[in-house]
Amino acid sequence: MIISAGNDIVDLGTINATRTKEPRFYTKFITGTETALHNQPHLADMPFEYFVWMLWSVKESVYKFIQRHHPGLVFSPSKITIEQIELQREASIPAITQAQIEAKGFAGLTTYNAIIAFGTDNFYSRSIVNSNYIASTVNNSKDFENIYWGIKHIDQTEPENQSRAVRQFLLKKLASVFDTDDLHIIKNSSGCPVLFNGDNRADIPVSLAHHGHYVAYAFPNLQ
Amino acid sequence: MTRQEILIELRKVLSPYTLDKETLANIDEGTNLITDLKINSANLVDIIIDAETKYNIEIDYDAADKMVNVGGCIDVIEEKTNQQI
Repeated sequence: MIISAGNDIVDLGTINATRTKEPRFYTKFITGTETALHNQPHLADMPFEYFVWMLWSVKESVYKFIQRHHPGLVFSPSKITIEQIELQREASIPAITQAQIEAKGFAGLTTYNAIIAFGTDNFYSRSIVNSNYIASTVNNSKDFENIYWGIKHIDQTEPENQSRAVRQFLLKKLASVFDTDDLHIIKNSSGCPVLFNGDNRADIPVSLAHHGHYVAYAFPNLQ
Repeated sequence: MTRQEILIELRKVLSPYTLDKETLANIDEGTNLITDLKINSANLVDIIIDAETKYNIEIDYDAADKMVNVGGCIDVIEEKTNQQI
């Protein structure tokens, strides 16, 4: 089983809801079978544009997870198929006013849990959906207990600031988990973030995401 | 339409989705939409839809997969517009 990390975030304040709901838009990356998933009772209350972007974020997260081990892979969302989406309803949904949330695993949180197929492999996702953002994290096991993740609101949305903010956010967490402060991130030639401890490559896959006013990270604790 | 003419028009399609106007002014066929132009991947479908509208073409799943860099976008637009002739 490959070890990797994959996440994505969509700032719902940035999307064009009208365009999202046009078949011409969403059929570019969602199949008819996937669209039909929205008719299930536990998804019927979800605005269709949220549903579309949740599927996008799950597919992009899966792509990031795989691409670490297949650098030449092109993001082809129609080939990553969402087979099932369940609602894990718990007492807590991250408050939309919360500027920052970090956790290990998703116990106690309301999440949409999908099973995804790519080729012969299956992947699993946890998506947090509120009226501000959709944040997805992917694993190749149903077990998310050892997955660290974080979501943070940022004020400045320029790409340079998003990039800097998500790195600082992730590195601060990594420093606390692994008790070291000499970590830094370099993107490899295929755009995949690689963690270094001093001059040495650290054996921890990390995934970064940013969109609009939100940044997010995910990484597994392999210790 | 030559590839250079398509590139000039493509620059207008990409413009709303990148703040990096200097890189946009100097794009060539190897320019990557995400890593070079810093376009968020969430906007890739917008670019496909805008290109469809501008050139009155339809870009399907498989063609859309090629639109990761400027050269790929030009390939798809060139192929689809030629199909109309």
